[in-house]
Amino acid sequence: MTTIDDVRERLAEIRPAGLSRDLIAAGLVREVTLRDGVAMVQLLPGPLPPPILAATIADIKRVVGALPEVVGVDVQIARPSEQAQAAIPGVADIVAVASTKGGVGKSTVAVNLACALTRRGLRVGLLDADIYGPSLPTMLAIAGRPRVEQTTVYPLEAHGLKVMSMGFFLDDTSPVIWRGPLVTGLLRQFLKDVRWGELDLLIVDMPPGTGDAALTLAQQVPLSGVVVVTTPQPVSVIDVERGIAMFNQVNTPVLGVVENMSGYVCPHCGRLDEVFGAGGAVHLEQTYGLPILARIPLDAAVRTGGDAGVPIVVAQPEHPISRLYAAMAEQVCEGIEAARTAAPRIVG
Amino acid sequence: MSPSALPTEIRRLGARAVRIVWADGHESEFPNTYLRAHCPCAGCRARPQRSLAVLNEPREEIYPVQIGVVGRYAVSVEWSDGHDTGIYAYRTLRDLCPCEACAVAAARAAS
Repeated sequence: MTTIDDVRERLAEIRPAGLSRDLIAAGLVREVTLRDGVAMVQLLPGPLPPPILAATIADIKRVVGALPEVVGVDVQIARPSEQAQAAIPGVADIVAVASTKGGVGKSTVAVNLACALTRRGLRVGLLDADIYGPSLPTMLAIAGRPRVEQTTVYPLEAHGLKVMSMGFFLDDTSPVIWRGPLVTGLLRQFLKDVRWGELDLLIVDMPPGTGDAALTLAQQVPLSGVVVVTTPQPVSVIDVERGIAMFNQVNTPVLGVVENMSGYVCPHCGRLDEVFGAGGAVHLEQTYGLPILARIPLDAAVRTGGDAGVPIVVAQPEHPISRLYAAMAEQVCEGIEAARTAAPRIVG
Repeated sequence: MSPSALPTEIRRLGARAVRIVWADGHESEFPNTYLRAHCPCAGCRARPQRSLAVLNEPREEIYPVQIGVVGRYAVSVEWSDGHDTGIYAYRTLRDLCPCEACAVAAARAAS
C-alpha cells in the first residue's frame, strides 16, 4: 500500500531547475497528506520563481501520480507566514551590557541594572554570556542546575530575575577551556534554547572584547541597544572606542556609557579620591555624543552586595548608588524607545 | 542609521532579481547574478578575481531560496545552488545599488 513516506520518497527525486538539492532536502515541502488515494503536497511559498514552480508542480503531479493506488495529486502553496517574529520567543527587547576591557565591573553593572529595571515593574531576564568567567551565579547567590528537557533549558530565578549562566553547568573551580567556535555555539544555544517565558527586557552580560561572542550576539538577534561600561582612565576608554566602532558597524545603537569606579569617597575625611583618574566618560560624551548614563563611585557596599549575592539595588534600594541605577534604568528604557526601528519585511 | 541604509521591504522577484525599498523612499533592484557576484563572504572575496568570475558564473539560473535578517544591520542569502555564507550589510547593499542615479553619484564621489 502506498504511504506518505512513499510520496515523500518520490518528492525527493525532484530537483527544480537551479536548485542544488531536491525538494525534500531543500525543505520546500511543508506538508504531505494522503487520504482516499488523493495525495496533497503543500509547498512553501516564495523560494521558487514562477516558471520553475509551474514546472515543479507538473513534475510532482506526474511522479506522485504514478504511484500505485494514487488517484489524484493536489499541490498547494502554503500561505506566507508573517516574518515579523520575535528573535527570541516572548522577549520584547534585548540589551547588551558590554565593555571592551575586562575588570571594569561590567557584571556588577549588568546585575544592578537588571534589578533596577525589575523595580520599575518590568519582567527582566539576565543572560551571562561570559562563558569563560561566569560571575552571575556568585553575584546573585544562585546554586543548582537549570532544568533541561530535551533541548529546552529553563532559567533559574533570583530577586525577581530570570537568569541563565554557563556557571550553572560548571563546578566551582573547573575552567572552561574552549576555542571560539564552541563559545559561539553555546551562546547561540543560550539564545535559542532557553525558555525565558514572557520578558519585557533581556539583559545580556557580555564577555569583554570585540570578539566571537560580541559578533555572534549582534548577528543572532536584533539588539535594541548596548550599554557600554568603562572606568575613567584612558587605557579603558581607548578600548571602549573600539567597541563603539564595532557596534556602529553592526548598526546597534549605543544607549550610553556607564563610568564605573568613578572616584572613591574616603569614609573618614569625605575627600573624593579619583583612583582611576577622571574624564573618561566626558571624553566619550564629547567625541561620540553618547549620554553618560551614570558615574558610579567605588563603594564597599557594592562589592559586599556582589559577593554576598544580594545586589546593592536589592539590599539597599535607597542607597545613593541604587538611586544612580534607578536613573540609569529609566534612561535605558527611554533610549530603547528612541532607537527603535522596524525590521524590513521580506516578501515574494 | 540613516534612512538611506535602512530597508523597509525586501522582495524577491523570482528568478530575476531582488528589490529593496529603502526608508528614504529609494528603490534598488539587484539582478540575482549581480548580487551573487558581489557576495561579501570571505570565501568569495578571498578568491582571485579571475576565478571568482568563473566560480560565480551561474551554470543554471540561480535565485535566492531564503533571505533572512541578520541582527539589525544585514541580511543573509541562501542561494538556490546551496551557497549561503554571504551576509550583506544594509550599507553595502545601498552602496551596490545599480540604478543610474546611484551609479552617477558613486562615480562623482570617486573622482
